[in-house]
Amino acid sequence: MSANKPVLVFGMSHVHALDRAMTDAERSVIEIIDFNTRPKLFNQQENKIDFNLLGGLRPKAVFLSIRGNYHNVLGLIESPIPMSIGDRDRGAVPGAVDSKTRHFVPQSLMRAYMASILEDQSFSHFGKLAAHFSEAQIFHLSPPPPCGDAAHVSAHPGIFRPRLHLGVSPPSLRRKFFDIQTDLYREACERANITFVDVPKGATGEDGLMKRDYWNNDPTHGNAAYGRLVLNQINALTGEFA
Amino acid sequence: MKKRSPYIGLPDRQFWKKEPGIVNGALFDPVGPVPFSISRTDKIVTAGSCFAQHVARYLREAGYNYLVTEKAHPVFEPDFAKAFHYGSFSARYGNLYTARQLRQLLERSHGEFEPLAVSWPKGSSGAVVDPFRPQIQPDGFVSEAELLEDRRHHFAAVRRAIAEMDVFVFTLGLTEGWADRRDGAVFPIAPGVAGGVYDPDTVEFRNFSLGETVEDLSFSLDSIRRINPAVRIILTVSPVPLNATFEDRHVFVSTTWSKAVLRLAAEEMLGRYRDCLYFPSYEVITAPHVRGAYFGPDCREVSEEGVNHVMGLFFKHLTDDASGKKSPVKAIDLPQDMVARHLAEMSRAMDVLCDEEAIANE
Repeated sequence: MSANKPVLVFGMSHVHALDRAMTDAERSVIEIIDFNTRPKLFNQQENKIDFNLLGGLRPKAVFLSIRGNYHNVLGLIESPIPMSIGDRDRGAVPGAVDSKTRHFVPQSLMRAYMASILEDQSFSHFGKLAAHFSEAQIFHLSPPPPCGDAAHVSAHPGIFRPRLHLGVSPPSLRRKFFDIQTDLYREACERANITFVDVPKGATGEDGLMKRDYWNNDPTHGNAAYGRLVLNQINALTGEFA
Repeated sequence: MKKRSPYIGLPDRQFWKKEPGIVNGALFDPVGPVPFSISRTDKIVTAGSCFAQHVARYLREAGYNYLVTEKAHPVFEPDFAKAFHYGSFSARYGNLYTARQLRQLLERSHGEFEPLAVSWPKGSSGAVVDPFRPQIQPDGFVSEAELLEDRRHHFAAVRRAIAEMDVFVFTLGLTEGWADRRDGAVFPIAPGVAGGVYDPDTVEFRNFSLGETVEDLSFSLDSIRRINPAVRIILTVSPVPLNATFEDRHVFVSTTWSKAVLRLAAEEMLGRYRDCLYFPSYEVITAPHVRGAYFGPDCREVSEEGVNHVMGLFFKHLTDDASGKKSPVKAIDLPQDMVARHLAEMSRAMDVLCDEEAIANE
């Protein structure tokens, strides 16, 4: 990996949208490291980062993008026992969008469950990363919001095709999973003194779901145009030294 | 031929000195003849005070058909379900300490009573608790709208439990409670303890008399039997003493008063209802034969050994399996297995997709 670029972005699959959007000028100051392609750096089986392999890097700003797709594991495709989740304003989402009998789940129960999973999978890295890069400003990028369009997911199911018979979850339910996950990421970042960077303005419509312009050709990631919006956020936050 | 006394020929259990428990407390057995038995296929519903949760646990662990109509979604592991009180009772009604609470639950869940109190605030975040089960969720509900949605599902689960059960076990716990002055609705604990605000102008202390308890219990059993005429009923009295009393007297004096009322009310039901049994769990735990050994260090909590004694007698007298040991269960595809498989496949797919994302070309 190239040493000593002032801005380091690392994480998992969501960093690819940024990589595809980077200009040559940005590439000279921003280093992107994908954990998924560095098995020595990140042991996926054991969920362990080898900090020794990061020893030479001295960035001024670090942008984490640690996992972020758990909301899709739970919510992209309907559970075999479809659920609704408690909601402050509506009582429950998705509400009466279909004729399915849904198993009601209080929001705080889903939140507690997701918190425990995310703590193990993602948040457990935050403190160690913050300590390792103690001289840098540390941020965490929000994962991209769901596109919310069942037709798009059905058209590009990719690896999820075998589960598609269960149906794509209603958009409001997918948004609910994402919102709970976002709250948990934000709170975990606060605990680790990491600045959470929200979804870029303009990336979502009034429904809080990703606009069509930013859908990737798979059900869960943003495209290069979305990556551009995130890079603009990074540039704005690091302008003084990048 | 005339007997020397009317006691001649009566069963040993009617004579104090014939009780084996005098010598060995573990042998103490005050259970008399029972009018019915329970099979492993009978659907059993429990309700009542916290001691009833022990009964539920033992029935479940012994492989009996403990009917739970309000389950956590199978995506959640047991610890999460337990923290949110799924499965503590047959539905998520929490502790029903008084007979009035049981009556009220039946009325509310069948649309016969809609209390004025809808929710109580919890903290300053906008969260609320259900006044009628204020500790059912660790942090309450995110809003009154969510509480009402949960309550809709809860009531449906209560109605289903009542309609489908074969055996109903109700453990009477207390006579003291708090009521809304406006409409008489009773709460399991005073507002201000676990949510809400104590306002003496709105709520009042109630200590239900024997007459009231008999009436409430009878009303409840009548309601249940109207829906489910064949249900067998087991009444017990919780041996757990009051944690506190609002009466101006010692808490133990209030305890004996309360337990006496509950015990008499239960006895009254035996004469009124067929297939209605009093099971003496209170007596097992508090009998001099066990020499106080079944109470914990705080002289209040019942020890596991005590619960084990009670439930051992329960299985001995009411089932054909005195051991209470679990029998082999036929392997079936449970909902939690189906959902766990789905989640595992989604996780694997997501990992693969995320790996593939690295080699995408755009």
